Formats: sequence, structure tokens, C-alpha cells
Amino acid sequence: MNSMQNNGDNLLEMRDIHKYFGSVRALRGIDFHVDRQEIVGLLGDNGAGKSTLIKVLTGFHTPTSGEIVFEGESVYIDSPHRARELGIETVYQDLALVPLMSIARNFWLGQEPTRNFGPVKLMDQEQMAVEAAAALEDVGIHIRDANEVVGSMSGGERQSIAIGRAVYFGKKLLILDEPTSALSVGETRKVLEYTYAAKERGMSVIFITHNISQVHAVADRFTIISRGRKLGDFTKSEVSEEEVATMVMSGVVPERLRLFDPEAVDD
Amino acid sequence: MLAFFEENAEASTGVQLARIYMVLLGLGALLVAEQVLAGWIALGERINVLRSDINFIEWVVSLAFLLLAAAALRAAWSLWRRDRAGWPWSQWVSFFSTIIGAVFLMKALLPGGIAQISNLVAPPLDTLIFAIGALLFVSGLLCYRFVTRGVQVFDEKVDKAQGALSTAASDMTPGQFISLQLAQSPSAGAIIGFVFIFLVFSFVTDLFLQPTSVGSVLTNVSTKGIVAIGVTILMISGEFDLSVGSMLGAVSVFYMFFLTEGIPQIGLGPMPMLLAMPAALVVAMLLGFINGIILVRTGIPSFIVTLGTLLIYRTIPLVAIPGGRILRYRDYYDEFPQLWISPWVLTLLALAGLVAIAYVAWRTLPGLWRGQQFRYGEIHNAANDGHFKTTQTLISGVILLVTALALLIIAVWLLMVISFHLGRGGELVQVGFFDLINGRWGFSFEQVTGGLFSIFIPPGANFRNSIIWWLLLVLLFQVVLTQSRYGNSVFAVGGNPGAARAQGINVNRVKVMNFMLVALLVGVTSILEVTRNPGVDPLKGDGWELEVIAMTVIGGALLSGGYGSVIGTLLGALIVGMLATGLVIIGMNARLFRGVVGAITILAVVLNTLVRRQST
Ligand SMILES: Nc1ncnc2c1ncn2[C@@H]1O[C@H](COP(=O)(O)OP(=O)(O)OP(=O)(O)O)[C@@H](O)[C@H]1O
Ligand SMILES: [Mg+2]
Repeated sequence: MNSMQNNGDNLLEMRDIHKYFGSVRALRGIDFHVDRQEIVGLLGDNGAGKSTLIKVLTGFHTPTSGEIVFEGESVYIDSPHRARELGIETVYQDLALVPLMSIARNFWLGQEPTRNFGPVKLMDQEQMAVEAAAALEDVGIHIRDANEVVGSMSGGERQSIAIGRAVYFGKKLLILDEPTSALSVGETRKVLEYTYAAKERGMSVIFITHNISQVHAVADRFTIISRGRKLGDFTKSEVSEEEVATMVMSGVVPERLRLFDPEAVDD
Repeated sequence: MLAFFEENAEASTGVQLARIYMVLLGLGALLVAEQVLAGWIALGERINVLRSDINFIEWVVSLAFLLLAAAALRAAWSLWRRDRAGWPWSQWVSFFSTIIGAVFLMKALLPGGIAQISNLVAPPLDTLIFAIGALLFVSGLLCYRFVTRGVQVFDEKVDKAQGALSTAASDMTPGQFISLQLAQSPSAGAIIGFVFIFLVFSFVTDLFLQPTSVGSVLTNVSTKGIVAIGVTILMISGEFDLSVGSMLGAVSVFYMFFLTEGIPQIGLGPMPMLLAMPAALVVAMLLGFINGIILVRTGIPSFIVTLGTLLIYRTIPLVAIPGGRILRYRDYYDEFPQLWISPWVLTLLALAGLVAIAYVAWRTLPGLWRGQQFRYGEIHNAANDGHFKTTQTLISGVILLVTALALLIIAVWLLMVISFHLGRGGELVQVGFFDLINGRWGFSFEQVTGGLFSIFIPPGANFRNSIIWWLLLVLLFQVVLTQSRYGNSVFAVGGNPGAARAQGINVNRVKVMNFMLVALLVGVTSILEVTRNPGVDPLKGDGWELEVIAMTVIGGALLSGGYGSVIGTLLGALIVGMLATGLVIIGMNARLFRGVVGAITILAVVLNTLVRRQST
């Protein structure tokens, strides 16, 4: 059933998050938590509010109301920069790379290594290219030339680079928002492998996808949201793949798992 | 050719011909250089063939031919010895002889030039130039076609499929190399346009390549060029500033008031000249900050915001300067402000400059030298499977040489300045403050620079310090834009603001900073303009925004953001400046200027777009 809220292993807890865009109520009181070394599959239909929830978490949006607790402390994440400082690294569904910039520059964007010439700090472009290529190689992405412009690459290649970057820089929490939507079968398997490897290294992962069999293979727990509300948390052992799929599609929790009746709650 | 080098085949007829061609070309080029130096082939402004003074153009031409001769003989030598280096050498030699031939042909076929100045010499000379040009062009082209056959053709698609061979590893013909470089540069259109316009003006009239014209082009364009640097960086971050012209007028008025009467309304008296300058810059940055803050707070497009501030800022000079007058420094003081500087201070400054030069040399030269050594070694490394980087080696050699020479020249100049000041004893150096900032070379601040500029600058030419400030600022911001973390964030903010923000970049802050940067550069320009001609009229800077944006766009910056370069804008500014001066020199109606700039702007952008589309 729903895991305990005050678990000692708690890495992240989001309490009663609301987010309104004008009259659009994208999130309507969501409680969400991630334990240490846990892979959480965040599921829901199109427009359910998954991307909005993680954008609130990473400081891209400020919540209309609600509280975020990270590693036991109440935090105010007001910018993606702050989230990064906390060790949260994200692959956004729609905000991956800058097309007119090179792979290396995209990879290091916002945290470029520098060489110091007295007081003058210049980017170390050679190191950037070499390390970016090596880091991407580590996660199985082969590139020809790290100075090549991203704009000329395929959607899948771009997605791989964004994932490689997040895996490389992620420290505590890795968020992947539909990371495999443009990937081939082989590449998708690799992404699932890094996800698992990240967990082994002590990180937690939030994995958003529409492909339930994919996430069912790696996730420890599922959080399903529907139209801005949480349907529930389900550990892998207690639900089957089909049940999850039915819940995501119908937005109704089967009788045996039901904690509250979503239909009874007022909109 | 491939067989000759790779399989030790017998030299074919073609190779034999190439060998002979290189020898003949070398000797021929030597001959031309000798003839030019001896005055038998008179180029440029020459009436008397027998006159022994050699003008600038002739120096350049004979130097070019000497280099060509040396390279051709070098190529011939390796061709005889079956040394692989002979291959790229002969490619480049034939490439350049084709280019030089084309330039000569252009010179001979364009109207104007020598034929109009001297009927006596013209007909045979034009024919001679035509003959040399045609010969070089045709033979060079033939040879080029032959020697580039069999070069490992670089094909991106094949490479991608095989997943091998990066761009740098395969060797390229000069043609491929240059088109690749152009395709990778944001300012291909500006480079091509610059070379073309420069050649046309130089050929059509002998008055163009004269110190007076060059000086007027550079001096006139330098201040607009400084503003254009800021506008370029702002445009790369995806925004746009129409208010620069009005800002220039406003800041100039403030600066003038600070220098003269102060602003009595708020109890501000006249300031010392050294304080008025930073005060004007602060005012400028404030105006830029207002632009930026309106933009990020309201989210209105910058076109609208700065259209509004264009009108608002213009009212400052209109209101402040009574009744259409011109606010002049001379109305307040009889004398321009003077500075007395201790020669020891100047010596110390020069010493500091020397230290800086030494530091730069220490950080750059060894690396360049090692790279050069490494590449040179690679040429002779047989294990390279034919992929050696001779073309890159040649280019990096040239870069090394130019860097070293430039550093050396500056160092020697600084030494001369030091010895000049040491030689004078402790006597204070007097210099006009305005001259120090934007004085005329060879005229006004010789005391400070050790009388150096007057050696090079003929009396009629108008070169000013603003040129130096401009070039220094271009250099500085080129480095900032391409090498610093801030520059990287500027590109990201313009290229994809969401992605930039997602990576922790404060997009709004970058935008506001860029508006303030534009304003700061406008402030610098205001000071330069006021010190050049100490007066401000209420319409100062009116219409600058359009010209400056034209320079930026010609230079390859994308209006939509994320792309552009400061060097490109430098070229864009030079193109506009050459047109302004050149059209007058060739006797065209000066009112055509705006139309021509407009046409060139569209052409350059079309070229930029074509090249970019080809490269991706
Ligand atoms: N910036 C925004 N402004 C206004 N409405 C928004 C904004 N972002 C999201 N929304 C709305 O919020 C709701 C949730 O969107 P969200 O992107 O979080 O869905 P999602 O669960 O990620 O869907 P998908 O699976 O399609 O990615 C949608 O109705 C969407 O229209
Ligand atoms: Mg989404």
C-alpha cells in the first residue's frame, strides 16, 4: 500500500503541491516522495501533470502552494540552478539542448570548466571536448566530434546526449522525463541499464514514460497521477503490469488497491 | 598523382608537367616581383614608369609574388624528390596562382584605374596586366585541377555512415578546406562581401587604397563599430536594441554637462574631467538597465520596448539643449582640458604592457609551437595511412608566425616608448585630455607615444585613437563571446531560452546584462564622439540604430538569436564604411549610400543563409 510518509530513507518529499497556470489547474494537491536508491515510475495520461510536477521540483516553475522537503530539510527551490546545487539533474521532455551550439558546449552548459589566466577565466575548450566525448562514451553514446553542432543530429542522438549529460552530472536524484521517446530498441535498453546503474551508485531516479512495460522492468514503485491528482503509490510487488496500464488509462484504481475514491473528491 | 606518391609509380606526363610548371611559375613570379620592384611594372598611382619610389601597392604585389615564387620552387623541389609534402604545396601554389590571376584579370577588366590617370602608360600596361592575369589564371586552374585529383575527398555522409574519420584527420584540397572554413563561420557572407567590395574599390579608383581614404573609412566607422559589438552580443542573446542612437544623444549631453556646467537643478556642479567619464558611463548603463528591466518585467518584445525608449531617450537632448542650438565645450571654456603626466608613469605603463605581452606570449606561443612541431612530424609519419594534415600544418604555421610577429612588434614599440621617456628625464608630458582619448595620429599626442605614429602616418590622413579602442574592444569581446562561460550562456539564451534556464542559467539576468553592455559601449562611444568634436547637437546619433543593425546582420548574426560573431560584425562595419567612403571617391551620388547599404545587407544575409544551409 502507500509507503509511509516519514520513512527514514526519504530523499525527497513534495507535500500538497498545487500549480495553476491562470485558470488551468495543472496540479491539484499532489503528495509525492522518493526514497534513497529508489526508482520511481511517474505515470499518467497525456496532460496529467507529470512534467509540471517535476518542473516544480526542479525550480523551473514555482508552485502555487505546497512544500518540498529534500534530505529532511524544507527547501525553497526557486531556480534550476538551485536544484542542481542540491544534486538534482534532469532530462526535460521539451527543453533538452541548444541546437546551434556544439555537443561539448551543450554538455557543459552552465558549469563549464575553466582555465585561469591570472584573474581571467576562460573555458577550457579542449578539456570540454575530450571529457564530454569520454563521458558520453561511458554511457554508450559514440560521437564523432564533440565540436559538431547539435542541430545537425537526429532526435535520438540529441536525446542520448541529454541523458548522458544528466547521468554524468547527477549526484542524488536523476529525473528522466520521457527519455526514450525517440530512441531505438537498443538505445532504450541502454537507458534502462544506466537507470539501474545510477541506482546501484546510490542515486534515486524518477522515470516518466508512457511505456509501462519499460518502466515496470526497472522501477521499484509507481506513482500514478490523473488530471492533476495522485491516484496512488504502488510498489512493484503489489500490482501487475496490466493493472498499472488500466489505471493509467482509466484513471480509476481497482477495488482491491483503493485507498480513497477519486470520483468522490470534489474538483 | 595519388599513384605517384602512394605506389611509387613512375612519374606520369602530368607529374612531369606539374614539376615543370612549378619551376616555371617560380621563375616567372620572381621575374614579376623583380620587374615591379625595379619600377617597370607600375601599379597604383604612378605616372612616370622610371620613378624609383615604390608605392604601397607595389610593395604588396612584389611581396606576394616573392612568396608565390618561394612556394612554387618549394613545391617543385618536393615533386622531384617524391616527398609527400609536395602534394599539398603544389595544390596551394596552383590555388593561389589562380586567385592572383583572377585578381589581375579583374584589375585589367574593370574600368578606371591607371588608364584614366595616365594615357601614356596605360595601354601597354593594361595589356601586360591582362596577359599576366590570364596566364596565371588559366595555367593555375589547369594545374589545380590536375593536382587535386585523387585527394581523399572528404565526404561527410560517407564518414557518418562509416562512423570513422573525423573532419580533421582527412586531408582536403584548398578549395574544400576554404569552403569548409566558410561554412563553419557565421560570417561567410561578410567575408566574401568584404573581399569583393575591397577589390572592386581598389581597382576602380587609385584613390581608395590611399592612407587618406583608409583613415577616413576606419575613423568614421570605428565609433559605430563599437556600438555594433554590443548590439551583436545582444542579438545573439535573442534581443534587439533600437534605442542606441537616442541613447548616444542622451549620454553625450550628460557627458557634456558633467564636463561643463554640471546639472544645477539637482545641485551637481561641474566635475573634474577624470570623473566625468565614469559618471557618463554610469548614466549610460542606467539607461540600458531601464531597457532590460522593462523587457524582463513586462515580457513585451524588445522591438517595442526599445522603440519606446528610442523616442523617450531622444527627448533628453531635445529638451536639454535650448532651441536647436549646439552645445559646445568652447562656449564654456576657451581651452580644452590639459593633462600633465609624469614620464615615469608612462614608463611604468609601458613596462606593465611589456609584462602583459610577455605573459600572453608565454601562454600562447609554446602551445602553438608544440602543435606545429607535432603536425610537422605527422607529415613524415608513414603510419598515417595517407591521412596527414599538411594543409592544417601550413595554416597553423602561418598562425604561429603572425602571432609571434604581432607580439614582437608591440613589444618593440613599447620598448621604444620606454626609451623615449627615459631619454627625456623627469620633465612632465603635457597632453590634451581629449587628444589622449580620441586624438589624431601623428598630430596630437605624440608626446605620449614617443612620436611613433607620425613616422607612418602621412599628414593628410585622419586616423584617430577610436580605431584602436574599437579593435581592442572587438578583440576583447570576441574572446568573451567565444571563450568565456558568460559567452556560452549568451549563445544558449538566444538559441533556446528554455534549455538555458533548465541548465541553471539565469536567462533574464543575461538579457539585462546585455542591454547594459550595449549601453556601456554606447557610453564609450559618446565619450569618443564628444572628445573628437567637443559639441553635441540635439539630433546626435539619430539614425545610428539602423546602420548599426545593418552592420550586425551583414556580419552574420541571426535576428532570432543564438548565432553570430563579433569578428563578423567588424567586417560588416568595414563593409558599410568602405561603401560610405568609396561611393564618394568614385564619384557616385552620396545619396545612393543608404540604398546600397540596404542592398548589401540583403545580399549578405542571403549569402550567409545559403552557406549555412549548405553546411547542415
Ligand atoms: N506553461 C504552461 N502554461 C499553461 N498551461 C500549462 C503549462 N504547462 C503545462 N500546462 C498544462 O498543464 C497540464 C499538464 O501538463 P503536463 O505537461 O504536466 O502534462 P504531462 O503529464 O507531462 O503530459 P505528457 O504525457 O503529454 O507529457 C496540461 O493541461 C497543460 O496544458
Ligand atoms: Mg510531459
